Amino acid sequence: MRSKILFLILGIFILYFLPRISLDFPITFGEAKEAYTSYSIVKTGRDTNGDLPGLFFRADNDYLSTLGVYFRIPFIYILGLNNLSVRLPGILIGPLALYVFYTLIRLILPKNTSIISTLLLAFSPYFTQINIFYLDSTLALTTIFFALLYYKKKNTYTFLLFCTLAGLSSFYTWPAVLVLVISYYYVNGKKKQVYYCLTTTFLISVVLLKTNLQLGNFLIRESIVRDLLPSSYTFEIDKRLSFGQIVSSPLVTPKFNYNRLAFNKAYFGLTEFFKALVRPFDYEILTSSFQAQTILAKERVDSFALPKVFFWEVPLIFLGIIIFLKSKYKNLKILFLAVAVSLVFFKEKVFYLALPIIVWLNSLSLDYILQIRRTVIGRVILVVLVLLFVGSYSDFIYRLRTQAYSWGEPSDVAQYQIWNILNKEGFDRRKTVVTDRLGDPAFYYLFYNRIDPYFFQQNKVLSQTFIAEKTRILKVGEVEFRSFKYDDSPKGENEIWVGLPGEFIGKKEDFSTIEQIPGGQIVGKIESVKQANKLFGHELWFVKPNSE
Amino acid sequence: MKKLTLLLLFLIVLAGGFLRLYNLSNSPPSLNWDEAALGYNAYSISETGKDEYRVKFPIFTRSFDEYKSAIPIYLMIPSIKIFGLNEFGVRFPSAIAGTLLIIIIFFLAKYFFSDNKIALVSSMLFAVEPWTILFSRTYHEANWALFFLFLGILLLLHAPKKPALLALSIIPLGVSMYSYNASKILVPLFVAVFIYVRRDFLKKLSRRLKYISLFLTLAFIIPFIYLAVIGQAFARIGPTNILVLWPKEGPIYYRVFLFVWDIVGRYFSYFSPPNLFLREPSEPGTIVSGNSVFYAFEFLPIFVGLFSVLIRTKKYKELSTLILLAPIPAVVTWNWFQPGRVMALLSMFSILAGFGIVRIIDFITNVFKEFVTPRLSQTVIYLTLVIYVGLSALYVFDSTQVLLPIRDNGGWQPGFRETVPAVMTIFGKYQKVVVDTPHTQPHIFYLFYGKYPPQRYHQELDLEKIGTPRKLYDFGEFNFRKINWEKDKDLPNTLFVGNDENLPNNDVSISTKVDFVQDIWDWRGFKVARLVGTK
Repeated sequence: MRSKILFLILGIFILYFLPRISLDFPITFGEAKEAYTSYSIVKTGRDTNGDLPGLFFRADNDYLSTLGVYFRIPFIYILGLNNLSVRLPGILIGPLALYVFYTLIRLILPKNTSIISTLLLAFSPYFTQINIFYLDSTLALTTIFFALLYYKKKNTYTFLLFCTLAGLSSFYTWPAVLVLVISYYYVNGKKKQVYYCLTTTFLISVVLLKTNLQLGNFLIRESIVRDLLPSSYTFEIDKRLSFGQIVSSPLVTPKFNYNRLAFNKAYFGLTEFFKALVRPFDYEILTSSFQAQTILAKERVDSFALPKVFFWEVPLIFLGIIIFLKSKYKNLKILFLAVAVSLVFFKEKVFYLALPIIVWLNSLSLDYILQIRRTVIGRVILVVLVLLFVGSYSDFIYRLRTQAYSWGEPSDVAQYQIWNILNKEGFDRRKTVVTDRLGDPAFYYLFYNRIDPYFFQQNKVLSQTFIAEKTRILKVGEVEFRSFKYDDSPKGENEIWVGLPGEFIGKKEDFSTIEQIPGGQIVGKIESVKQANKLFGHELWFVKPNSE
Repeated sequence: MKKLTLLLLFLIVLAGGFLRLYNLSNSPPSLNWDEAALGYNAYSISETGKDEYRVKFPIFTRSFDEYKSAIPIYLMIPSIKIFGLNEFGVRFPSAIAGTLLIIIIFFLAKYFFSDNKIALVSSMLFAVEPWTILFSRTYHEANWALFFLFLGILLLLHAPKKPALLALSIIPLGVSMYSYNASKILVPLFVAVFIYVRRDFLKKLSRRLKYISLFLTLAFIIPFIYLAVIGQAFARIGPTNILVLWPKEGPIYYRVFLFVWDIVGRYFSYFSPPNLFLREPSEPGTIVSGNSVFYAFEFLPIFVGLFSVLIRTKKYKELSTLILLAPIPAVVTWNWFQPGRVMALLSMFSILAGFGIVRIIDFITNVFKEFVTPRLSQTVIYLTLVIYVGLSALYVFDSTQVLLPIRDNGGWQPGFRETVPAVMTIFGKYQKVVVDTPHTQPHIFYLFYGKYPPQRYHQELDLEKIGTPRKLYDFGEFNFRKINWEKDKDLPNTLFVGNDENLPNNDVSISTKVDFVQDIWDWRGFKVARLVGTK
C-alpha cells in the first residue's frame, strides 16, 4: 500500500515538474518589467523611476505586481538577472498553491472530489503556464486560496491579510477581493462592517484616483471602463450615421434622423457592457481549437497557441455546472460571484481566477463518472477520458517544450531573437536602432543586456507625449527604440539598425529574394517574424549603414 | 389565450414581418447563386414542369451538382407567378416563412414552459434577432426546413393529448427532411428520441392511428432511401463532410486524437459565446453585416435559460433533446461555425433567452420586493426591455438596409443584376456572346436576370457536353470564358461582356471593327461591366 502511494506521489511529482524542468523560454514583457524593477531595487535600492520601493511599482505607465517585484528580489540577488531567477519563484509557489487549494476544498467537497480537483489543477495547462510565466497570477491565486481558507475558518485578521496580499499580487483581483470581504462580513452578520467596507473602498478609490492620476488611468485602461467610455465607439457611431446619409437610409427623414435612436452613446455604451460580459468566455481561445474563426478554410488550420483548457474538459465543465446547480454547493457560490465580478471588471485578463472553478466543475463531473464506473457506459467514458488526458497532456508538453517560437507572443519571441543575435554576434557598434513595430523593446533590452540601473536612470530618454496611452522609453544611452524610414534617417558608421524589411526599402509584397539594400549591408536576418502588416514583411533585418 | 397576449403577439409578428419584408429586392443587394438557381428552377418548373436539367417534377434538383431539395422550389412557384421572376418574387416566400416562424416559436415556448410571458418574450426576440432576419430575407432552403421541422415538432409534442396530431406531424417532419440537409439528420434523430421517451404513449395508440402513422412514415422514408442510394439525397455531404480534415501526417493514434479534437471543437463552437454574441460569421450570406448571430445582451439570459433547462432534463425532455442534437448535422461538416446548419439550435436559444429573461426579471423583482412592489418593478423592467429590444431592432434594420448593401455588396455576386438585362436587350443582334466574369457558374444569373425561356434553354442544353459534374456553362449564343482581346477582337459579330482590363479602352475606341456598346454601372456608381461588340 505504502509503495503504491509512494509510486503515485512520484508519478505526480514527475508529471508536475516535467513541463517545468527548463525555463529557458523567451521572457514576457511583464516579466521583463517586473524583473528589471526587482533588479533595480537590488542594485540601487530604488525602482526604475528612481523612487524608493513602496506599495506600487510603475514601468512604462503600467503598474506592476507589487508582490511579484518583491518576491523576485532574493532570487535575483542570489542568482542574478536571468530566466531562472525570474521564473523560479512561481515554480516554487506552485506546490504551495496546490496544497492550500487541497486544504481549502477539503472543507467544502468530499475527499475524492478534492483529490481529483487538486490533480486537475496540478496538470492543468493553464496553471502550468501561469506558474511559469505569470508570477503575479500564481501569487494572486495562492493568496486568494489562503483568503478563502481563512474565510471558511472565520479568522478575520488572517483573512484580511491574505486579501491585502491578493490585492498586492495583482490589480485584477481587486473586485474579487472586495466581494470576498463584503460577503465575509455580510455572512457573519456584521452589516455595519459592510457599509464601512463600501465607504472605505469608495474613499480610497477617490483619493487614489485624485492623487495618483497615472494609477487611475492604468485602471481605466485595463478595465471595462475604457470600453464603456464614448471614445471607444463614437467612431463607429459616426461611421454608421454617415453611411445612413450617403445611401439615404429610410430612417433619415427631413424632419428627424431616426438612426440617432439606436446610434447614440447610451445605446452603444450599454451594448459594449453586454459585449464585455461575453469576451472572457472565448471557448475557442481557451482550448486553442483548430480552425477557430476560420470557417472558410477547408484545409486543416492548426492552432499554434497553447491550450488553457483541454478540449475534452468542455463537456465535463458543462456537466459540472449542471451537477453544481443541482447539488447547491452554497459555499462555492461566493467564489463564483467574486470571479464573475472580477471578470466583468477586468475581462479576460483575470480569467485565471476562474481556474479553480473550472477545476471544481471538472472534478464534480469526474466524481459523478467515477460513481458510475461499474456500469459499461461509465467504464467506456473513463477509458476515453484517460486516453484523452494522456494524449492532450503529452501534446501540451510537446508543444510547450519544442514550439516556443510558435506559441510565444510574437513580440516576446522577436525581442528574444533580436537581443540574442546582437549579444552573440558581438557587432562592433556605436549606436543601435531597434524598431518598436514589434512591441516596445526597451525593457527587453534592459533585461537581456542586464543594463546597470544607474546607467539606465541617467541615460534614459522618455517620450514627452503619450504613445498608445503610455510614456515610452525612446532611448537608453546609444540604443534607440523607434520605427524608422531607413532612407530618410541620418546614419553613421558603426551603427546597427534592426527593423522590418519595409522600414529599410519601403512596403512590398515579397522581400524573400532581397539580399542588398541601398545605403547599407544586411548583416543578419531573422525569418518568420509574426506581425500584422504584411507589406512590411515577415523578417527582421540587421543592417549596417555603409560608410560615406 | 388572453386578448392582450394575442394583441402583443400580433404586434410582434407585425414588427418581425416588417423587418423581413421591407425593401426585400435591394437588401441583400443582389441574388446569390443559390437564390438565382432556386428561382430559375421554380420558373422553369412552373413554365414547363421540368427543372433546369429537363427533369420532370424532381424531388432533388441537380443545380450545381449538389442536388438541391425541390420542395423550396415548389413553394416559390406561386410567388414567382404573382410577383414575377425577380428578387422579391424569389425572397417573398422565405420572408413569409420567417414571419410565420415567429408564431410557431411562440407556441413552442408556450408548450415548453406553459407561460405566455416567456412565449411572448421568446417570439419577440426571435422576431428581431439578426440571424433570423437574414435567413428570412434571403431564399435559403434552411428557412423552410426549419418552418416544417418546428411545425412537425409542435404537432408531435401535442400528440399525447390529441393522438391524431401524431399522424399529422409526420407530414411536416417528412417535408422538412426533404427540404434541407441538416433536417435529414436531425429529424430522424429527434423522432427516435421522441419514440423512446414517449414509448408509453405510443403503445396506447389505436391500431388505426398506428397504421396511418406507419404508412405516412414509410411513404417518406422509402423514396428517401432510394434517393440516397442513387446519390441525390446526400449529394451535398460528399464535398462538405468532415473527413476532409482527417490529418494526413503523424502516427495513427495522434491523427485520431486530432480528429476527435476537431469534432468536439465543432460541436462546442455552436455553444461558444463569442461565436454567438460577438463575432460576425465570416462566410458570406450567413449573417447581417455588423452583427453577430444574437445580440450581446442575450448572453446572460441564454446562459441562465440553458442551465435551468439542463438541470431539469426530465421536465424539459424534448427541449433538452433538441438542444443537444441540433449541432450534430453541422458537426459532420468541415466548416467550423456555420449558423445556417444549426438554425434549430439557434431557435432554441431564442426560446431559452425568453425563458432566461423572465427568470432573471422574476429574480430581480423578488430581491427588491421589500422596496418596490413586484408589479411596478416588473412593469418598469419589461418596458425597459422592450425599448432596448426596439433599439436593437432599429440597429439591425439599419444594418440590413444600409451597411449590408454598402459593405458586403461583394459577397452577393454583384454586377449581374445590372449587366444581364442590358445584354439581353441587344444580344439578338449578335451571333455570339462571350462573357468573362470572375464568378463561377455565371450561367444561372443570365438565365435568371434574362428571364431566359426555359423551353429554349432545355433545347439548347447539351447534357453530354456540359459533363458530370458540370464543367461547361455555355448555352445558346452564350459562351462563358476568359476574353483574350488580342485574338478575340477578330471574331465577327460577337458581343463581349467584360471589363476595362480585358476590353482595353484605347483599343476599343480606335478600332474600326469594334463598336463600344456601353459601360454598366451599379447603384453605388461602380463600373461592373463593359459591353463591346464586333462587326
